[in-house]
Amino acid sequence: MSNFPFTATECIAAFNSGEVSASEIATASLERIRHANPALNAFIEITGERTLSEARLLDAARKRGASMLPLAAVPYAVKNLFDVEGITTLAGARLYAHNPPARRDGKLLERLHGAGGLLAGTLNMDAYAYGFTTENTHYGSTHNPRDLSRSAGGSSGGTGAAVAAGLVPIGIGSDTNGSIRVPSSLCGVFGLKPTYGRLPRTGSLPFVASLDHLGPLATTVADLALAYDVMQGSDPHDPACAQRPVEATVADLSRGIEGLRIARLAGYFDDNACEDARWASHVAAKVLQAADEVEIPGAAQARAAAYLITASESGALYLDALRERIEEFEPHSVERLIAGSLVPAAWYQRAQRYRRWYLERVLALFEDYDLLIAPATPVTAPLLGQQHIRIGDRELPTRPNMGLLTQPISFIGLPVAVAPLWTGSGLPMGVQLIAPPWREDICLRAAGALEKSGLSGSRISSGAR
Amino acid sequence: MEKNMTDKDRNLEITQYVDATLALHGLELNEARRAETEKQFLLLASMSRIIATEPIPDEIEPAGIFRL
Amino acid sequence: MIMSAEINLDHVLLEVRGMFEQYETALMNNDLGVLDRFFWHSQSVVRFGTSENLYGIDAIRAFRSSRDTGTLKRSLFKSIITTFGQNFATTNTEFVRDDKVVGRQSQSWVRFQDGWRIVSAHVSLIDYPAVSNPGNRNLSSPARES
Repeated sequence: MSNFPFTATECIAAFNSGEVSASEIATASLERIRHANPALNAFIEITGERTLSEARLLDAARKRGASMLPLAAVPYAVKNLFDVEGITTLAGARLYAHNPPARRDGKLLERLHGAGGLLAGTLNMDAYAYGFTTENTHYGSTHNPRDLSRSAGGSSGGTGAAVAAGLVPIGIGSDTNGSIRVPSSLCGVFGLKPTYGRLPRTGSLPFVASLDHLGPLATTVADLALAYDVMQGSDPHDPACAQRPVEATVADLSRGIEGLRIARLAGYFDDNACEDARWASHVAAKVLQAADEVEIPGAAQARAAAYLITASESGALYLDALRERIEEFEPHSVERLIAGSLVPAAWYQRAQRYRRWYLERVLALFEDYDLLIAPATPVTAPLLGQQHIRIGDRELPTRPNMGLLTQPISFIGLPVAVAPLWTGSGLPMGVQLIAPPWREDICLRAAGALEKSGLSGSRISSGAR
Repeated sequence: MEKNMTDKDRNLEITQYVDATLALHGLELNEARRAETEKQFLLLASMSRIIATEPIPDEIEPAGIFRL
Repeated sequence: MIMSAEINLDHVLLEVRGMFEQYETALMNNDLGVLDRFFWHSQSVVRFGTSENLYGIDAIRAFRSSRDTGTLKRSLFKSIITTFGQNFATTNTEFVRDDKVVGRQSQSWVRFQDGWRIVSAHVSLIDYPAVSNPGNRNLSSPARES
């Protein structure tokens, strides 16, 4: 092999063939992280001792002839709302800084570890997961590797940056209203928000129980599908996790768009998209041979309902702490949390009922189509500290509006893959590839087709490789 | 809120509601925080108005149903 | 096997020069039909553009038709066409765009039964307006190590 392995696929092959040891792979990843992280502030904690000891165990097992693991010798990192044994689960919040460390790994980490993954560290996020820009007053903003003066998106900004900078091939994040998809779009990497209830949330800090999803980010579709397949499976300890069998996606990726009926979303998804975003949506639709354009009825209302549910549930969750320790709260979100705790029950109930009704109408669309396409963010990465974004002739506050295009989709838990495209300015813009419930395989096949055509790719700089 | 309220009436109602519910929750805020909270609540009120007139059928389920 | 006497045969050079110039005219006029005819209609054709890599004729078509403004006007210079035997040629040219940016274009042409087609193309720029990257900054507390 001429190049040192970087992607998960390359690491597994190089390790299994004996060409490179897990310890060498771990060391290389840690070196890249230590070199790049000061400028990015993606990692909050680098778990070097654990990475190396996991690697040593793998190397010893390989010598003994142990059977091959699906994610062997693959470095990965996780948003710091995941429980990691021996580390305090911060969720980007100063509020939690003095909590005792987690006793055991969260469920998804357990699976990644069991599959041979090497945990490199924990990643920065918007406090509590309440944000779309990872501008964290206490732990610092995360910088976009594509342009350090810009936001990496949020709330899984550390995850997006770590993967886009080529520090680890796989990162794990969470997505309530867009927190995997927004960083994927702004940083130019692939991301997957699975169906609501697909991946167990056991051992991760909640934000909005009605809307929280967990999922992977990666530099290739093959890696994304691999990480997702490894994490699949129900868990009786998470009541929101559906009792579904593992439905592996890797083997079907090569089918591409064969047999898929595809449409591009217009209406709300064009009205709230700048020129670059609409371009990405149009060109992806052409390459994927989308037959039609359709509108989702009630998308604006869906976004409003998701906003209300988010405010109300998170406000209630933090109410006790707000009463006693308000000075420790993130200034960007403290009043949003308080206001959320004041929402009348009748508004919240109405939003929940709207959810079921809106879902039924969107499912009707899926009788005619298997995949829908929309941009992932209204604009490309804003500057850190930028107060407004411009969409057409409208100026909107940046932070709450980066999720305009993602919220109406996660509201009803549909599976979405994000594939990064590259605009004329040099900044990335992701497209959402949206499938019916439980059809992550379709999202991933479409992402793979875009990647294969050359239109979509994560452009990891060769310095990382 | 009634449709024949003026904006001024509505804002007064909101200020009174925010003050009352903050007190109910035992949250004591300085003036800057109180003002920002009210601003955020006004935004939530506008979100609620966006879905207020949707003709959602009565039999639509209100939320996740408790199951054993 | 090509012998040196078969390089740059007059009549072949004339043919390919004609194609090359027609392609350039079509590009400046954003004549999608003509542009499409000059590309090999295959999933194996490759076009590396200034900000996109396109594999297969479908991707190239999709990209062309999504660009409402077409290519920026440009003047060519140092165009070199070399033909090898009757059925293969390379074209290489530099250009200056109306916005003063300098670029280069390479094409490989093959004569098929239905005429000459571009089987591989690459356009890139020099002094491309890069996104700013101020380099290392000192930030808040560095990451913990454990």
